[in-house]
Amino acid sequence: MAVESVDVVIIGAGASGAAAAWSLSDTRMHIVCLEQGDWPDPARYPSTGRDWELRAMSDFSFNPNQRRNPGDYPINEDNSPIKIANFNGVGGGTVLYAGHFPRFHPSDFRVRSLDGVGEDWPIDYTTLEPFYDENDRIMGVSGLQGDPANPPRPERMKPIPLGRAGAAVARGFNAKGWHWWPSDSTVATESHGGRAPCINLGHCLHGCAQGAKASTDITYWPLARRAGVEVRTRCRVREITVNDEGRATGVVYYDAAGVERFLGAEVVILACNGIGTPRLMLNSTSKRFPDGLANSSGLVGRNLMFHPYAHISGRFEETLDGGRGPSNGLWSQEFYETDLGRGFVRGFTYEFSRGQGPVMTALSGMGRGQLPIGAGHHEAYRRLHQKTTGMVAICEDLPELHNRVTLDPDLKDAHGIPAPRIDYTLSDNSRRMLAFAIDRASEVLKAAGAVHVHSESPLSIGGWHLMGTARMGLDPRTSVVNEWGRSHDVKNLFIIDGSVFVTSAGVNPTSTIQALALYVADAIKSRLANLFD
Amino acid sequence: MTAPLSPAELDDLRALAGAMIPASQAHGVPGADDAEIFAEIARGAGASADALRRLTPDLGEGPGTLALMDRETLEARLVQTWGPDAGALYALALMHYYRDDRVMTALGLEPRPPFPLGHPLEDADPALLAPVKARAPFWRPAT
Ligand SMILES: Cc1cc2nc3c(=O)[nH]c(=O)nc-3n(C[C@H](O)[C@H](O)[C@H](O)COP(=O)(O)OP(=O)(O)OC[C@H]3O[C@@H](n4cnc5c(N)ncnc54)[C@H](O)[C@@H]3O)c2cc1C
Ligand code: SF4
Repeated sequence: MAVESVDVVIIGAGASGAAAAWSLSDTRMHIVCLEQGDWPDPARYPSTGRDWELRAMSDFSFNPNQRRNPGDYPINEDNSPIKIANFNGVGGGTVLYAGHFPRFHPSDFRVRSLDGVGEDWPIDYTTLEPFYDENDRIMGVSGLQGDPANPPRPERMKPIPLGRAGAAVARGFNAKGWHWWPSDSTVATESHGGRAPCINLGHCLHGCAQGAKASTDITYWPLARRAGVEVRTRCRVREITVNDEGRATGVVYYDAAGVERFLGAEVVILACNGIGTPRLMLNSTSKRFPDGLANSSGLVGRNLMFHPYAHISGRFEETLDGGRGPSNGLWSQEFYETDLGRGFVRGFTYEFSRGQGPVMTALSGMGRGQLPIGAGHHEAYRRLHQKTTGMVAICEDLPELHNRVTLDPDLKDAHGIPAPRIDYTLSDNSRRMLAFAIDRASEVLKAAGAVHVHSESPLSIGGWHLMGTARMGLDPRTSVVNEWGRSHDVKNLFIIDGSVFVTSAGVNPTSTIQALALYVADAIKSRLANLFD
Repeated sequence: MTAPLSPAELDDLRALAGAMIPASQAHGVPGADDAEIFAEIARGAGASADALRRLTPDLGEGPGTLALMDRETLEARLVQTWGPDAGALYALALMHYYRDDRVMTALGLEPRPPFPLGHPLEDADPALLAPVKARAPFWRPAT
């Protein structure tokens, strides 16, 4: 039987895979994307049914070990205080993400030069800026121009309404004299590219049934497929194969029927996220690469960064928004840039966290010891119902070699492929930053009128930003890919997901992941004649 | 595999649900032992069966005995012996109680899924942003 072969295989149909597929589609190359999960079906998203809050804890949980859908693979996260959150299907994490869409600051690319920690990136903000803009256009971004904490932005849809909860938090920041601004968000507030505007279902983190939130299954993928890119779902890649010259020859995968197949490719692009990508590379051993594909630096899987989160919430006497509306809509970057007087290096973003529906209000009330059983139950519940709001602090995580993804010796997925194991410890710098963030947020919430403030840190469910495990750099001894995403060791292998991050910045990463994917795709297109030199 | 709950154990679970979340005339809500609500709790109880079995000897004499206690006694014993198993059963009750039509209506919520009607969300006074707009840019330039 003839071996099937294509020009480009992209592994992973999430945030970055979709963006690169769309960008490369104008080359008319034969491009196939292999995705282990399925197409999501918005008609089945939890917010369409009465059990919407329960399904957020089962088949739409963001923890794959709890969700256990056919597209998921298990992860040994016992040795990490922060547990992994992802979605394995077309759209990847964007199906469940909140759509909070800040960009890196220019200083984030120069962490070593400015602050003496981490490493500098081999590229800068100016290099990525046109790709940020292009990505904003395709994803569709709401927000407000003129934020003094950030470089200028192109025009966007009007911002997400603050609601009562957002207004309360904004008043708190104003009382302290601290920065806040309506967030950049991929929640459409107007019709955009065939998407309907947000109707405040309040369930963005478990799939947007309205199609207002830009997940890549409804943004990039329709465009890329129309231009000829093929997406094959329920196809899990086991390994990337190489020849004696050290070139990638293609991939071995299991198709939807579980049959093992080989797909040859001239170019292999990895877009499996900061856990899935190192997992696949470590599973791709050969005579040439006994320690995992393209791993001569020994850095594949190392320097895992998460963004430790603190969640700080206040209970108010006034009625706020409860579970209505997108979860975010306001950020503060008052403490973003380094000020060593605060006791830590680098900084963080506050992302407003609006409120909760009736079941989640009850469960968090129980968890915080605010909801007694018996006679006092109903009175206590009414003190919480629609009366809680707050924020999360997204803290910059610095790269550390011991925070890493390896292969678990025992755990395997449904196809028998070794599963990833996470080893992660919180640094002292992160601890100090989290403590500072909790103290300042408590002041904001009290100034806003909160009668009681509660915090959780680090947020154990919050391993949703997966970065650093195949980092970018100029020196092959200290990085896995070069400054335009090509592996130093394997000249037809590219990595475009969060693995390539050199440092994590203190913002949600997806706009940067996608800008990088577009930038790498552009680099490929502009070098087609001598791509492998 | 966990064995399904027996009729006596289901009676106990219902009594516990009622002790945890009792009916309230003042708030116009049924208790979690209400027939419709409890049917949902029982349907979702699978994974919590072991918690109930571990908890029963701490609270009563054996399967079926919790159902015979009066609500106040059961509540007091629950409070005294509170631990992870009681917490798991409380969570189970909360998850089904707070999506009942009557409970949602009493809380001022429409008993329906969020989609397709959605919800209103108020815009805030744009003047709130005035002090921040007055600030000069403060991000660090870097090339
Ligand atoms: C609950 C939640 C909230 C979030 N909120 C935000 C937010 O507000 N803002 C923000 O910027 N980010 C947010 N994120 C993070 C965001 O989703 C990710 O940064 C982004 O999706 C990562 O893009 P990626 O392309 O690197 O990987 P992903 O989007 O994770 O895509 C990877 C894809 O690869 C597939 N794959 C993996 N291994 C294989 C294999 N061996 N074979 C075939 N396919 C494979 C996976 O199934 C998956 O679909 C959130 C994430 C979650 C889970
Ligand atoms: S709040 Fe808006 S974006 Fe979020 S799920 Fe609802 S409609 Fe979608």
